[in-house]
Amino acid sequence: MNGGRVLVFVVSALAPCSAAFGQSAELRAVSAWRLQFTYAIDSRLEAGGQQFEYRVTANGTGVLERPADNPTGLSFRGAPDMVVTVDYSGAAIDEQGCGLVERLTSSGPPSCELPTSLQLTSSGFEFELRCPRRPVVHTFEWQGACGELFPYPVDGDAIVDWPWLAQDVVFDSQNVRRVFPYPASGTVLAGRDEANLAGFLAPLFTAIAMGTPTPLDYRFDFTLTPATTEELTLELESAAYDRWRPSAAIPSGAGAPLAVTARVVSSTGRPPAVPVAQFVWQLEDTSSEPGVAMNFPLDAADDEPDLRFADADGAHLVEDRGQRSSLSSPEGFSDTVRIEPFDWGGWSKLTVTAVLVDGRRLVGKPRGASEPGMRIPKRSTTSLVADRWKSDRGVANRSDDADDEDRPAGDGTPGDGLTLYQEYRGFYVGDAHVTGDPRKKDLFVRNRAAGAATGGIARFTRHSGLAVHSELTEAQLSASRIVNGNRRAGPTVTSQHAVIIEVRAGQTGFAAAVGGPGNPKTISHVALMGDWNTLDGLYLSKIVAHELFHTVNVYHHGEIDEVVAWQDTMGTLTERRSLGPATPIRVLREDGVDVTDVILDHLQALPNKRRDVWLGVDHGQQSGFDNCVMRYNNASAYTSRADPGVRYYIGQQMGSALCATAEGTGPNAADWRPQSRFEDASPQRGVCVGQLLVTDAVTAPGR
Amino acid sequence: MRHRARVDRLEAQAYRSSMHIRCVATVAGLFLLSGACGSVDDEARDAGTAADAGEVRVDDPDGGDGGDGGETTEASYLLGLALGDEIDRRVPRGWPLLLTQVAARTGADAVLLDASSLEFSIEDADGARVSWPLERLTALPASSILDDANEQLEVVWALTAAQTSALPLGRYVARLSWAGRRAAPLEFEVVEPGPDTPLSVRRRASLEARAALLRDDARRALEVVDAALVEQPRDATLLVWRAKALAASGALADALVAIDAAVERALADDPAGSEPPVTVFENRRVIEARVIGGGP
Repeated sequence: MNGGRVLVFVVSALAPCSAAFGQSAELRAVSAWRLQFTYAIDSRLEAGGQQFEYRVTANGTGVLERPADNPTGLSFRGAPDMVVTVDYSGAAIDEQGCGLVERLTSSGPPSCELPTSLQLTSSGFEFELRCPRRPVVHTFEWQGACGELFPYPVDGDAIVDWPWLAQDVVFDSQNVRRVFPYPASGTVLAGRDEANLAGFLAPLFTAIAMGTPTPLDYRFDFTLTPATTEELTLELESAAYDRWRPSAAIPSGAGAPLAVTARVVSSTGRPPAVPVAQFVWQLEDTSSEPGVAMNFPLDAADDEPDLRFADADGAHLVEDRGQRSSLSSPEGFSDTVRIEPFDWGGWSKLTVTAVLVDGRRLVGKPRGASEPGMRIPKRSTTSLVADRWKSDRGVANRSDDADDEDRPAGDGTPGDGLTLYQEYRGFYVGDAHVTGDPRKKDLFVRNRAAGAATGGIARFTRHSGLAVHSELTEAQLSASRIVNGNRRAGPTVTSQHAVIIEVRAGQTGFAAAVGGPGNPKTISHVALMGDWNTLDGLYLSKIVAHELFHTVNVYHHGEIDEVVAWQDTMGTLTERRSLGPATPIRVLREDGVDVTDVILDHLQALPNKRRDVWLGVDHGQQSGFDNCVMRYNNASAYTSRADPGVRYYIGQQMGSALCATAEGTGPNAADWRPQSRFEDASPQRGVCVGQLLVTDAVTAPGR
Repeated sequence: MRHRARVDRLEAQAYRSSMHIRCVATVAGLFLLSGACGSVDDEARDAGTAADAGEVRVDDPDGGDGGDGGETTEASYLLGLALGDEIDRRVPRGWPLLLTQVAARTGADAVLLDASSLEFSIEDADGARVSWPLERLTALPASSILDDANEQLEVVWALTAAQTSALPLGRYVARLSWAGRRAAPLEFEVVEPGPDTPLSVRRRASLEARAALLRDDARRALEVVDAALVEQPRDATLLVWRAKALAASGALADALVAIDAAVERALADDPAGSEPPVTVFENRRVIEARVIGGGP
């Protein structure tokens, strides 16, 4: 084969535009032209055992300028940036069953013999492009018996490159040279060259097999515009975009704004030649979640857009409830807007268009981005949550509707009733906005008991492993106790409730989680006794923590203790149950010391010579793991198993932690002397860490 | 060891010099009160330099341009303020005023108290700090670390009944902050006392008794409680206070009688309660332990 194959194109004339003759003053004033062109040539054949497809495409842009030796003339030259793609695939099989697949491939710039040129003449404009060469890679794949017939190192279907066959072929526009008519008006010079050619001879072996040239379809389109209309792009940039998240200021102010700049950028690297007539910004699909956070303001119903353009500078025209901002006749080629958030969970899509004075419209996108505009905040296409917030918390791959926290594991029910989006949008607690912990279960508390409950809440927090938010104010929790009530389009799973703690004036002696044990939705409130300050602060903290554990469905270790009366019956200490007879008893300390007489002496001073005693029983409230806060300590006696007439007098400490076993420990252990006081926890009780349930999305199981 | 060393340094600094009273309470000896808040004549010491204090992170609330919005993370301890019995937020003139400060850790790690950053103040309705002669009724905690051995700190301040009689009527707010962590502001109102009711009699006597016992004045506590019991002899809460006062004065047998009466009343008041009347039983346990002894 010889080296080059030159295709000869016969140019057909475009339909003339007869209205124009001669250059207009406007055209003559153009000092440089921007070229954009596309080129395509196709040929294909399928006959018998032969077939091929041949396609060359090219496109290019560039500027044609007056040559230095004729700076005022009407001739222009340049070297456009061009990319040529060659793709030929042919297959043939002969009568001996020898098959061949042949390919020519290439992609890249061609080599040009002459500068591309434009000449404005009195009869029209003459355009010429001469860039005919593009090296290709030529490969063969032998098939059938050919591997035995030819001495080439081909095994089976292997593809072999024969680089010495790489040729300069295929792309040749030497005859794209002709005179085109001027437009009727304006300064856009456009032309088309197209033909159906007959002269393509397929390369090498497939050509040998086919023997005759095949037709070609050829088309060349080009546009020349004044170089002042150079290739322009509108780039969006925001220094804070990566780390910004929406926020808000209470009661109704904007949070920290996001500044975004749109800048018209010329491909020449120089300032654009055409001024911008207007920048038009839009916020699209903007959220309008009620309130500014999940719980604030209470029971919000507003539907204002959560993200809005600021109009503080007075130069922009802000319309459509802050969703459209425009700047007319800007100075320079850039514009900056400030997007103000009014909601911690707001989202939107920002778009911007620059309208140039010549009518062109540029749509903005970040440099390197394929998608126009910017998602606000920066987030994935499937999420409403800022990427940064998720990545900072190690939950980048979690979906917005996820409610699957497993810390603490509790009873195995995942979640806390709050979706990832809701935790991100957050809550007002006390004087701060807080977000949920997407890796831990969150629980909200309205503490009306103030410092009376502080120690207990702290203890509960420490031993539950929950993320407890305990400083909700009256303005942050509605009567419904729902903490995520402000919702509209954001993902949700349930109405999650907060827990209220308050001191009840008329409640003496005991605290209670009213409605519990259960999950938070079932607990109307935790009522603390009005006489809490008769207790040591540490003990009180255990009581408060105990009741709080009831609000997440943790039960007592048992329920079957008894209250009995010890009384002096004719000088004998007796015990009486509510309906039973009085039976004689002896009271011993666990060290064996008999204190019956001490008790009798004491009874002499009491009205009716009797006192109420909380008698603990096996598997009752005092049973199980000794140091569990769910195990009460108010029993002051228990019954001897060896001698039912003996009561052991005890003083117990209340537990301070949360148990992970039902087994009796300490004085409840089997080896305690004189006996295990109360044995293991009742069946289905104990293992308190395994009972914990926070989410209101389910019905709390009973135990 | 490093942690311990910081504590030693902090405590050494805390006691290095006498506290010059300003309206700032500090922790080092803990919850020392400033003079602008009252004439405190105790071992108050000026605090030394700041040290690590918990794990508070408060981001820039303004956020600036493109900030992350000023989120606040939870601290590893809580601060609380309680007014009296927390049944309501009114302080009748002529009643004692008790303010309780509480610090308790929420995490597993020990929290070293920052001696220099704790502030306690009371402001009137105009936001002006007031100068009240608050008296600290509780001993200063021995340690400046919240840990397993020192789970929470509690300090009680008080005005006497006579002192509250002189307070201007109106709304006030008590504020406690520490190392960026703030207790919920405690809003209350000084009011004219209303007519006596069973509840008000109990509450006032309870506050008086608590203040007296914290001052180690068991006799005074017994006086006020017994006076109230004349009117309300079957009031379980008053009986508990009577028992506590008697126990404090060493009259353990009488204390046991009083607390048994309280138990009887509490059980009678809530015969079907799912929760035991722990205040009466716990106070009885404490007294019984001194009378009868018993196991752990």
